[in-house]
Order: sequence, then C-alpha cells, then structure tokens
Amino acid sequence: MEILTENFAKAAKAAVSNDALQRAVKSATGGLLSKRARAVAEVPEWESLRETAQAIKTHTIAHLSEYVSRFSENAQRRSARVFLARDAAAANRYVVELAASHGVKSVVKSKSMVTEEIGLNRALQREGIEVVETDLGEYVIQLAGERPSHIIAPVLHKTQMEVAQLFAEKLGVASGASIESLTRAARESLRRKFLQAQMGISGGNFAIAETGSIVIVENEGNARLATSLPRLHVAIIGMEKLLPRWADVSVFLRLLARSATGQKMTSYVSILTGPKRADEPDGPQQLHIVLLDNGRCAIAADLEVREILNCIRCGACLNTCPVYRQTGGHAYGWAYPGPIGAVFTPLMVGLPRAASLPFASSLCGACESICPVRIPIPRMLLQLRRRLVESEHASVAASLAFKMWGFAMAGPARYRVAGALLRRLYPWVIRWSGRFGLLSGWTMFRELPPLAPEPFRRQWEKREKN
Amino acid sequence: MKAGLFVTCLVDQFFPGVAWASVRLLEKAGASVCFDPRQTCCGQPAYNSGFWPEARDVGRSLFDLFPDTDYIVVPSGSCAAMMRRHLFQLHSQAGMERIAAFARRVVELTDFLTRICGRDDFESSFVARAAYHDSCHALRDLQIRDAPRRLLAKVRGLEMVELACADQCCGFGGLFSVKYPEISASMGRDKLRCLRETGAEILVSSDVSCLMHLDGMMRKEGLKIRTLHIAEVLAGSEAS
Repeated sequence: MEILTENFAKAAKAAVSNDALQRAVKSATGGLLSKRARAVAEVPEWESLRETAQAIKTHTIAHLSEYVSRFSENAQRRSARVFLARDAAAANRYVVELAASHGVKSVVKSKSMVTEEIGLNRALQREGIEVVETDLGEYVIQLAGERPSHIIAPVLHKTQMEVAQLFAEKLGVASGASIESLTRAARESLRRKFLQAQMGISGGNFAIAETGSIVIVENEGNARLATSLPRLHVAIIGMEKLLPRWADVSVFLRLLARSATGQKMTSYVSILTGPKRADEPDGPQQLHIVLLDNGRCAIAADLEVREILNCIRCGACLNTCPVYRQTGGHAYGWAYPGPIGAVFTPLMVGLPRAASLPFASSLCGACESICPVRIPIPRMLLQLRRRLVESEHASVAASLAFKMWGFAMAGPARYRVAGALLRRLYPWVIRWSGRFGLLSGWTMFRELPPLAPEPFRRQWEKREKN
Repeated sequence: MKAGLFVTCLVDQFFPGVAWASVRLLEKAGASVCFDPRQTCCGQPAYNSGFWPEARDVGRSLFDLFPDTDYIVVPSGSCAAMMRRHLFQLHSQAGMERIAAFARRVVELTDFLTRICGRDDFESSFVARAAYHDSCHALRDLQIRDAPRRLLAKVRGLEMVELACADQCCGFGGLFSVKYPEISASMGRDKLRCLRETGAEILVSSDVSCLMHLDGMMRKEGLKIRTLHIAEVLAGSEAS
C-alpha cells in the first residue's frame, strides 16, 4: 500500500473540518463502543480473560520462530502448503506466480488488512487478474476506489447516502435505495463472482501452531464462500497471529467479537485445517498459507515495543480514541489507523517517514484501558517519541523550547529568575503569540491564562516570615 | 502526619489559589503542611514530548525533596502519575530503590484526602450546579474515579450533574495541544458540547492543565462557564 503517513497533519486538519466525516465517524464508533460495553458487562471474568490472553500472546511473540516452524510442520502434515514470506514483495510474487501457474483469471477476496498492507490487489491486477472484494464494506471501498478507514469497519467514514449514490453510479441501483436493496444489489453481483473465481484469498484471525489450522471470524459468510468455492485458497497471515494451542482459541474468540462489534460471537467462525480431503464433498483442492514477516520478526526482537504484536485487530482502540474519532482513519496514511497504527505503522514503514504518528495522541490512555490484550500503547508512543527526538527528528521549535525549559527548570534559583522574566515578558508574549510556531498553536483556539501576580512560592515565603 | 505539598509549575505560576486551597484542606484533614522551595517541575512536559535527557536532568532533584514527610501530595493527577509511575522509565536500574522510595510517597490530592486521611466531608459550601471532568491521568494512570465524586457530593449547596463524556479526554495533552491544535480544539469542542448540555455553571477537575485548555477555549468563544480546581471548591465557602 502506498505510504501517505507524511501527510498526517494536513489530512487530519482537513478531516476535522469535514462535517459529514465527523458525523459518520463519531456515530459509528459511538455505536460500536456502546455495544461493546454491553457485551463486556455480561462477562464477569473479563479482566482475567484479558490477563490470560495477554500472557498467551506475550509468550508466543517471545517464541515466534519456534511457533512459526511448529505451525508450518503441522499445516503441511494436513497437506497445506506453507510459504514464509520475508516481505511484501515476496508474498505478492508467490501469489501472482501461483495464480499464473493455475491460469487464474478471477479472484475473490475476503476481508484482510494484511493484504492491504502488502498491496496484493494491485500486484494481481497488474497481471490482468480480476480481484473482487467480497466483504460488503470492502466491496464499497473497492467500488469507490478508496482505502479502508477502520480495521473492522472499512467503510465507517461513509454515510448511507454516500453509499447509495455510489451504488447508483456503479451498479445502476435506483438512487436513494434502502440498506436492504443496497445489500441485495451487492449480493447479486458478488454471487456471480464467487462462482466464477478460480482463487479465493483470505486473511486469518488466528493460526494455531498445534494443529496447523487457521481461524477466520466474519459476519457475512463471504469468507466461508471465498475459502471453499474456488479450487485454490490462499490465506495470507501475519506471523503475529499465531497461537500455540487449540485450547487458546476460545479465549481469543470471546475477547475478539465482544471487543470488535459487541457480539458474543461472530455469525461465522471457520476453522480450516488443510484443503479438501478425499472423503469431503467440498472445499478447495489446494490450500496455500503465506506467513508474512514484513518486519514483524524485527519488532519481536525490539523489547520496548514488541507487545504491539499482541494486537488481535479488534479495532476497539480506534473506536475509543478521541484522536481517531476526530480524524477518521485515512489521515493516518497507511493500512493501520488509530492508536495501534500510531505505534505499528512507524515500526513498519520506518520512524522518520511516520514521525507525525507517535505524536498524534493526547496520551489519554483510553486505548490501553479498552485493549482486550492490554497493550500499553501510551508507553510505546512515549518510546517512539524518545527515539524520534534522539535521532533528531524533533522540530526546531520544540527542541529550542525544551532546551530553554530544561535550563529554566534546573534548580530553584534559575526557576525563580525564569518566573520573574516571564512576568516581565508575558504582556508581549500574549500580544505576539500569534507569530510564534508553538504559541500560535495555542492561541489559534484558546486564550492564554492570566499569570498570577506572584507565584505561590513567593506568597508562601511571605507567610512563613510573618 | 506531615504532608509535603508539591506545587506543580502551572499551579505555582498561574493558579496559586489552588495551592492555598490544598493547604487549607490538608490542614483541615489534620496534616501539617510543608512546602519545599527547592522543587521546580516533575519533568512531565519533556518526558511526554520525547526529550528524556532534559526530563531526567530536571527530575533528578526530585528525590531530595521533602526528606522528612510521610507523603508528597500533588494537586494534579497528571504530575502525580508522572512521579508515581513514570520516573522509573527515565533512570537506569542503579537508582531504582531511591526512586521507588520517592514514588511510594507521592499521592494525588483527592486520593490523599479520602484514602489516607479517611475523610470525604470538609464541611464546605459552594452554591452552584457543577460538572466534574476526569483528568485522564488521574482516571486511567492512577485509577482515581470515586474519590473526587465522593468529596464533591458532600459540599453543601453543590448540585452535581454527571457529564456524559466525563472520562473522555478534553484534548489538552501537553505538546499535542500546540502540535495538532485543530484536533485538540475539536476534542475540546466535543467536551464543551457535553458540558453545555448539562446546564452546569461550573466545571470542576483535579488537573489545572485540562481546565486551562477548556477555559482558554471558552474565553475565546465567549462561553461563560467557570472552571475550578476541585481543591478550590472543597475549600470554598462561596455562592457563585
């Protein structure tokens, strides 16, 4: 996927003044949040589930290569073919060559963020292969020629009206159609695609090392069709989706659905172990599993931030993040928006290119407190900020400000002088604040607070003397 | 009981009334209050902005403060969280014991009054309709939710109305507020919208930084809802 992370400040600014976007994002995330709250309240052992999940994930990431080989062995034993892809190019090449060698003309896809990450659709289309997104939200995105703006609700930034208009243009549906007729139109057009396709591509929510199985959760049944109708099924899965044991899955299924959509369970949970067997009536003839590294092993070795790989992509942190709720997902400029993206994206695309993202947070901590696997996102944002400053990616204004601050705060004598100086200069500070980078950021929307005639410490000294 | 009052730099320079109100409350709760003029800042602004060496240098003198008090009371959830939970990040393993001994003594004001002093009624009165805004760091970093509400419930004449989005960030966020002013102000507007819907006359919080941001926005927009630190309300005897 094309990296547009450098554009964050500008894109965020535009998003904040886009009323339609604001309404769509706030109402959708608000809805998801209240459904989640109800679903979580039904589980008295929620906190201990989180703790268990965190422990399982942390263990798995610490032993990633071990579980990669165990998964590969067990999946191959069930006749799946496993390819370890070092990077996006290797993964795309594998799928493109596979498609070419089987004469594939048409591909159906179920929802997968990792294929957005590697830009798989474009790689296939470049070879003249038709790629159709079959998740309703992704289908809308594809028709509109846009990118997903949310991990689980890709079209969350659009209103129903906008979708209706798009369907009228692209599918010839009567304008102003109801949700029911819109979904029917999508269904009719997609059903044909499912039957024509020679290859189905999916992601995977979990990959079980013990059995070599992949787990896919969904609500529309499109993933089940895409993974069983075409004769080839390719699952692209980030290595961090591994779980050691079959028994671990239940913990995560409970956390994922409730955190993501507020459901007890998604409508469909598919656990796929190998391709169609001789005694089975249907299923793909071949199952190819692409386990994607693309930088994940390097993150797993980076102790300060490795827990970001614990993420199960529920999207709850996006819904609760006050910054995401203002900007929507596109501003973040890559596949993963919101708090998780503010950490994961810089680690994936390189910190200098995504230098805006770790600062795109008020450090309110809502993400960490909602996260089903308790990822300490604020702590990681702080680490990334430190790295950016260390590698001299801080702005000149900020560097100067903190040099001055550090000087003034180093000891009570300097602090006192700085306070006295501030009292002298403050009228001018107020008058000229619009001209100075950081200060104008304040006064653009707020008045400066009045300084106290005397600082507290001066008043305290006077009281002590009396 | 001896309590050292850590006067945050914002309180010292802009809101000394908050420190005096804290002194009165602590004395009322039976503590003898002292102030250590050697203190400057907890280092949070630099720490949160990635300038760790600067934060470390400023924070180094913290450990010598209030050598003979049992507690160091902070009228700010944010600065208290910095000193209780984050100083560890800045220093090497070698000084950990000293930091831990310091951090253990740091307590946020409302937490101190209710949990350590065991009091929630300060026999104060303040006639107004008020809404409470949770400071993110008090709420999520220090898990302080009930203490301020219990304290405010006991104030004579104070009618508390629950803010629908009480636990949602106001948009301040330190450097964030000037680096991304549009996003910050948009968050602030959401907060103020919730606030207006309650019909509150005053907005109370336990962090002056949130209030400085929201009050600054309200003054810019000509909105007349007073902002007050919780200590000022608890120590007050005032009709609004």
